[in-house]
Amino acid sequence: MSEILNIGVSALLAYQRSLATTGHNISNANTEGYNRQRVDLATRVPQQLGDSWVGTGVQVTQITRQYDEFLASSVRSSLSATNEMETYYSNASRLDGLLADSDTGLDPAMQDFFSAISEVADDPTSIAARQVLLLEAQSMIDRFYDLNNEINESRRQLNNELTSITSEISSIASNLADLNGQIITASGNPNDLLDERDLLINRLSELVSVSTVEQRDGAVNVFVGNGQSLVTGVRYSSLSTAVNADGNNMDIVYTNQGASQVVTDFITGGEVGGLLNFRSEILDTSQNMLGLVALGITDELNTQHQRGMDLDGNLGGLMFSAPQTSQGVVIQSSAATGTVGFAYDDITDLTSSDYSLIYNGGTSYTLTRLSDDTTFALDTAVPASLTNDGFTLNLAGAPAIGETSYIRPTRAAAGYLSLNLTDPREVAAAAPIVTAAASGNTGTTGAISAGEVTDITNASFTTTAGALTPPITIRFTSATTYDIINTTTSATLEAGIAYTPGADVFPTPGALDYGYQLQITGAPATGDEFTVGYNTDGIGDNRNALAMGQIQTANVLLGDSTNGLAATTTIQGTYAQLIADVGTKTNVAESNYNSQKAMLDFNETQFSSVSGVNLDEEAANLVRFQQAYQAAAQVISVSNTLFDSLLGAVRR
Amino acid sequence: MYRISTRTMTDQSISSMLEQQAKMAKTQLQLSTGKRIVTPSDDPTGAVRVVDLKSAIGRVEQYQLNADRATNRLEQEESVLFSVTNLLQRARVLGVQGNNTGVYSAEETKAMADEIRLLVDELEGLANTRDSNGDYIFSGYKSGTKPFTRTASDTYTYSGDQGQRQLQISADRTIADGDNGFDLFVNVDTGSWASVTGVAASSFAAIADGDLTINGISVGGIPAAADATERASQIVDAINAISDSTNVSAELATGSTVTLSSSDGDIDIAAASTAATGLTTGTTAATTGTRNIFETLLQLASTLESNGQVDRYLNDLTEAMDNVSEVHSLVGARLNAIDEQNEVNADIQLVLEEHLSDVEDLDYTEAISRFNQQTVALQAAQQAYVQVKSLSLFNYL
Repeated sequence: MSEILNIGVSALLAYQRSLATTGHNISNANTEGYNRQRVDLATRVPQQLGDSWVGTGVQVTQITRQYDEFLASSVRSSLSATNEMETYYSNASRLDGLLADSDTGLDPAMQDFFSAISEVADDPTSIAARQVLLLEAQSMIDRFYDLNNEINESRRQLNNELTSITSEISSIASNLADLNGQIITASGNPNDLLDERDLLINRLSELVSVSTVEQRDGAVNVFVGNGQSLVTGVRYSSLSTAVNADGNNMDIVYTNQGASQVVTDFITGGEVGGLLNFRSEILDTSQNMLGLVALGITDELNTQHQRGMDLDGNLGGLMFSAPQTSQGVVIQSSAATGTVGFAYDDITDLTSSDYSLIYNGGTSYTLTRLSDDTTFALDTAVPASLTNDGFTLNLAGAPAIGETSYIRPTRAAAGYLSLNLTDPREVAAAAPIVTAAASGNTGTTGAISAGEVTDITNASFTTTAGALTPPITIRFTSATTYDIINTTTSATLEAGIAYTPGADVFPTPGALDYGYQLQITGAPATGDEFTVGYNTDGIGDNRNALAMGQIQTANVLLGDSTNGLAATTTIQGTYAQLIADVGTKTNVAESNYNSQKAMLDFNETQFSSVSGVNLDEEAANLVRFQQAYQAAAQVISVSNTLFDSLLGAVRR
Repeated sequence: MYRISTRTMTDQSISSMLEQQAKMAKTQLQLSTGKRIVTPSDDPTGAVRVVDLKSAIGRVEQYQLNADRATNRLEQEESVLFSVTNLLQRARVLGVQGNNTGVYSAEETKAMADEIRLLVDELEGLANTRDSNGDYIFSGYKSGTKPFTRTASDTYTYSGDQGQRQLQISADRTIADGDNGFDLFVNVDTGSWASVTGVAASSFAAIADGDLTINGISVGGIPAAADATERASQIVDAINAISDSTNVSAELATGSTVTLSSSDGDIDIAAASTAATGLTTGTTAATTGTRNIFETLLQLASTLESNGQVDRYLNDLTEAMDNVSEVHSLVGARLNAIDEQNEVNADIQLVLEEHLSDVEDLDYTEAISRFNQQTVALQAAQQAYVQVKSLSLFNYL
């Protein structure tokens, strides 16, 4: 009789538990990270009565959470990938929008600048046109600054984000270690603790890619990067950030039991991975490319401008300040003992890549172009210089073996672009030389070209300001020969030069070279004279402005003279490449993000099909367990009735 | 059986609504800007083409501006050249009139010479023309330097240079926007000219027919003279009598010496006796040279006044007029070239703009229908959410 009562009671208790768990499920249907729980029921140990085994009711064996480790880890890796792509994409699209925008983009400003040069060529004596050129140049520089500042601002925000994310990672690691401790000491299935731990690991996966290993004691060990342990049982390590050698970027530092290590290159996935990839693939490349465009403008226009003559008859100076090489170009650690000097060699050969320079010991250095890992070796005793890709490194000092310096030829350039001219009269629209045919020439078809300056550093220009030293006269001594004569002193500088119509006059067979080039055409007669002099008062001359204007359509960048390749791109074309580069990467990032997001949705659906709470199902369970509970109560009631019947029979 | 958690159902509905809204926002942005490419990532290749095309259009627009400026300057030069041509024609008329010896009195030829001098002043003004910026148009590169100044000795100095400014009117074509004064006024060829002066004769006997021939034609017989002065005037008269055939004219250099000149070829003298004629046998070759137009006109004026040989300067004037009209036709040719280039540039600009529109502009029909589809999809997602949300077993318990 009491067996029936006991069976009934066991069922009541079991279904009470089931109902409570169903209630727990219903109430946590929308709790982040909650995995639905189920009460596992089993028969109690049966009693042996002779040959028969008599059942003794039901018991709760355990309350388990519905959880699939494989699906959970799929979700985690999807979370890492999706967050990585999302972070990358959202950062990239901000820059993407800026570059080609007609208000913030650089291209309209460059177009206006070159148009202003053309206006000066149209009207070289107009101060207004010259003033406009200076204003347009400044506004182009401002665009460079704006874009460069945006990139710097992105970099600053990125640094802040890295710092806050690494500190969140560290605090999650500490919480995980705590939870591991609680789980180890708890007996049975501490379902809600496990849920909490999984939720934390998921959050961690959003921040950075992690791998987990579950231990026998229930603890979970968490690893980041290429095997750095973040949580081991109840111990945890931390991530933090530190400014790297160039003072601009944050490195990620892994600290375990007091020992620190820079792990930036090993960390992947999650928001951190997205930020790091964005930094190296877009931010650095864009800033390098922008710097290259700035260097191209500076170098090309300076070179041509210096070949000109301003409104006051002076040789043209620098249009833009010469590129600086002291800030942000050579990055060395403060402990470095070798010195690395940097100088631009040929801007045309520059690439937009960064370089690393490693001292291998002895006399050996290796320079590596980081964009494609091309290496250039140097094997001579220091001090020595190494010229590659348009720049020269001057190596000196006694570096430690393995000492690494980073070379960033173009990174800082856009931020240092500045206009050197202040006075519109200083715009060198004219060429400093003027040629003339003597009025008594009898060879009617003989003519001299206007000439063009090739080397403004020639003594011909530098000896006396505002004059050629010497001014020259080319005098034909026959129809086929001419002498070159110093116009001032009438001294013959070189006699009997053979005349070839249309050929370059300089350098002469006797190696005369005055830093300009000209040609004589036609059939000059004996005694005919042509003169070359300083273009004194030549304010209406626009030859140099025309030549500066030609730079717009000339291929002047991204050449490779070492391999015999001429410049491949115009200045504006290089900027267009930057737009294309960022645009394409943003575009790819968007589609990567979308596909990762779809993957994540799929994995989460899969996961929640096992672990998620379905309210309809719980409603049905509620009904089922309620009915079972009522039936168990009925068993007790029946047992009571039987007992009463028995008592009644005895009373008689 | 595949379970779906209640939360997943809600999440999915919400995320599909968000997705539709994002798509709509994008389309809305395209519709409001009218651009297919809002940021480069929408179409990286297209975005770069937009940048390239815009910059190409900017350049063509600048070429058109340059061409307009060149046209203005050349038109100004052209009008100056018209005036110069008229002026030189008037001077020539005066010179030809004055050359009719004996028709006009000394006062009348003086008046003609004075008018020519006034024309020189006017020509100086024209040659020193400035443009709207105050730049001299005929001083080459030295546009701030007054090109022509008269010196005390009635000669003219050119202070400009031989520079010629070029303007860019297409990617690889430049055109001169003017001409310098050297080519136009200074370095002007003079007509053919030969001149030879004899000595005073020392024998005054009669000269037989055939003893003196000029360019192969005998001057005929000349009677005996009393002295060198008389002989000289006999020679002058004899040579001038046949000058229509020989193109050689003679005038007295001094009282007793004779100068022979020809503005049409060499002078070939065959004299039996230099003592009797003062002329030496031999050929004097005709030469040409250069002289600036101002000085030619001034010479013409003073020669008219002194009743001298004007032919030479009339020839020089013709050369000068040829030179001006040559420059004038060059200016015309440049203006034509600019017109042609303008048309080419306009065509290029049109093509580039069409191209830009193809790449950059939104296809409104497609965009609006896409927007409608997205609206419908969002509405459907919202309705589905409401329907699903209302389904719950708890409603029936």
